Amino acid sequence: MTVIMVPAHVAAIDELEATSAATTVTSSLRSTATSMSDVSEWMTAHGAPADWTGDASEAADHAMTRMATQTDGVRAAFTRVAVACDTYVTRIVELTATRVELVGRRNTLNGEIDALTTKIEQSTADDIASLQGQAETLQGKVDRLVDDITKLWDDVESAEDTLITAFQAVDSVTEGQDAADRDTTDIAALRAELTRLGGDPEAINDWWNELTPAEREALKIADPDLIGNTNGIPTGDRDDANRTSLERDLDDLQAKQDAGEDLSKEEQKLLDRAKAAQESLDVPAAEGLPDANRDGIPDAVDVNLLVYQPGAFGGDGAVAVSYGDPDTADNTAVIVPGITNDGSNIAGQGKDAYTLYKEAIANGESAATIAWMGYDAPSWNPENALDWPGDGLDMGSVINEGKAEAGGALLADFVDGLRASDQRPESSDSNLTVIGHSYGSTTAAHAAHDHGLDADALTLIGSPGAGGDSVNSASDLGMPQGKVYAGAADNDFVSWLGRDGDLGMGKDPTQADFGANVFPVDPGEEFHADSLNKGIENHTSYFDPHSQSLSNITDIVQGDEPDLTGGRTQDANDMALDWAKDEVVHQVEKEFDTTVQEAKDTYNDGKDWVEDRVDDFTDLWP
Amino acid sequence: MTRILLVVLLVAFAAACTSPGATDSGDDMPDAKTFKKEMDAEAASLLPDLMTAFGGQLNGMQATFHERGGFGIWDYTAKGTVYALPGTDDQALAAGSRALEDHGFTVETDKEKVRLRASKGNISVLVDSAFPGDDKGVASLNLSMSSAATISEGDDFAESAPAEDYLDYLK
Repeated sequence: MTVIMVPAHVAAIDELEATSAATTVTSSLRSTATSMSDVSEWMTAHGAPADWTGDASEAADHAMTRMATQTDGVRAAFTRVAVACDTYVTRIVELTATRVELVGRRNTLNGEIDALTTKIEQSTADDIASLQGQAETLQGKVDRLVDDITKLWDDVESAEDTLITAFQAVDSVTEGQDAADRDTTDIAALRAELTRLGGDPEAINDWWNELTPAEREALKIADPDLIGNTNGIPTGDRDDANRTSLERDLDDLQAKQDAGEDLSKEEQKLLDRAKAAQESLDVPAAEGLPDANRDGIPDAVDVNLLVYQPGAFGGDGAVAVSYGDPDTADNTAVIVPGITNDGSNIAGQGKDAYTLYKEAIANGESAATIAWMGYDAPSWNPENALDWPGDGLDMGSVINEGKAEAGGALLADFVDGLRASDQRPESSDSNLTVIGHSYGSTTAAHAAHDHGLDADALTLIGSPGAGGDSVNSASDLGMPQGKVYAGAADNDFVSWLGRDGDLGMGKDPTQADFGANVFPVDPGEEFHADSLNKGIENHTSYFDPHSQSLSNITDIVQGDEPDLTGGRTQDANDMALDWAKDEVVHQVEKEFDTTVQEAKDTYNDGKDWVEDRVDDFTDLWP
Repeated sequence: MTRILLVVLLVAFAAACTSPGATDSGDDMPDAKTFKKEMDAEAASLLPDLMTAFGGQLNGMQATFHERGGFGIWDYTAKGTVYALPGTDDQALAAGSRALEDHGFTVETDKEKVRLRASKGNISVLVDSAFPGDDKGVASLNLSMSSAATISEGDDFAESAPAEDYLDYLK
């Protein structure tokens, strides 16, 4: 009897205990290092109070210098381990991908082993030689796979050992101070170099990539607000720095609040914006992770905090959050919101961006969708309605384009930063679409017309005007031929505002003669003056699931052509005029109906009263 | 005339931004607190049966209020992903449709786009294929449960209400 040695199944490969979520530990380490750095810098710069004199002053100076030196040692220790943690997480991400590949090989191989076993059961003597050969081939594959699995676990252990060594190297005060002494990074010089580059994103990106990992880490710790918000710095590093600042703000302000201290109005505003930024980072976890590679296991979404300036624009705040990594994504979308938005509602904007993200990856390509609240949109807190010129003036600015013009410059710079940090080969940069909604469309149009917005496509939705008297057609926006898209719900009253002239924000981009590619949008419900919420819903439904608008915007983001209509042939302002005429008729009819009903009610009430009295008399004289 | 009209529209727009409670949505939507109670109760009853019908696993699904822009009108929404479906999207949608009908929802199915829309009172449920028209790999669905129209009463409650984790209803 001939025996064919069929290899046994390869055992299941355990999951790695560490995941990319370990990056939160790095953020915490970095945030602590930043706090230490701030303390150390402050003590070194200030010393004892100026009005102290004599021995006490000298003693205080010495004590503070000693304290600053020790604090710097702690800062150096945290910097070291933050770098080590960063390296560890990067390695874990690589090894997780390796494991996924090995799991795939194992599944295939075990399937082949089962298939061979079935063949052997159905074989005849003539098949033996062939089957023997197949069994040996499979055994070779099994041996190679087992070797690769062993190597995987060796690599995991090695990464862990390296991390442990890094922690052990600075786990005492002396070692920390030693690390600080050997730290030759000149933060001030690096800051000066960055300033000298004058905000040129390409030059900044090149400069950043030339730095050593230790220099990059030192800068992120010493000045996270600068690094996180500088266009041209790679996305991952901006995210590291901004999360450091965010964690610092949340910790500091929450601790103050928890200690029973009252926050000032400004501090409370800052805390609200920090919490909103955190909420925007948590959107994928709250709304469900996609299974992009269809293996039945949800995939992590790479969420990046690209802008975090909670105190910007007089406290309105600037924030941008990206779902996906724009430095590597096949397709990138930047969504520019409009009036009434600021840093406090970035989570709501993030939800729209994440909805678009999940749609955009459905074709198998990678995507990054960014909610960009990086400009000062006209906003108004009703509680401050009488705050003039403050919030009152801010909302008043909606009727002119000043904020859209200023925002356009910031948007163009931000997009230049994305282009500079794009890691894809130059010939196949990420397909980048800017989507302006409401006043954000006017802002985006200004970015295109005034600043040569470096995007592949521009999409204007619910637009009150495509910006400025010098934009008469899509071609004036300077985008690639045929790459200006526009869409508006018929019953979106903001889209009825487009017009030339001093009162208005430019032409309606959905007009047929404007020359944009106009895509269909669900019309929305008709509304009346006493149901303005419906009108607002029509203006804020462009990213609603199952909507025509979302489907068409997704096509554009993926680089495909959306469905197209011919565009509006009725002037936008005439649409407003028609609505107003119909509204007058509606309100008069409503008032008439109400008056008639009131008259009927009065008559009926009177008639009932008379009848009752007649009955009373009849009862008295039967 | 047009200039006057535009100013009127802008004023109306600003008014809508500042006092949404004064306008009538026309949908008889309850206030934020009442609606949250209504939808949370429906979710607690529906989701276990719906997930049994789908046969996969659910992630995400935290219900939160979010304001439309800064306009003072709110949606209460829970979104999640149903992954690791044992069959195809079509099969899952058909089973989900039956479960929704059993719970009193009116269901409209769009087979071409592999999605369904269901409604019951003030509550709307949307389900669609995460990868419509592509049967490669393991199927998954997007699931969303929300207010059928926006909510304009109960601003303070909506602003501060903590997220409700609907995954807890499946334990």
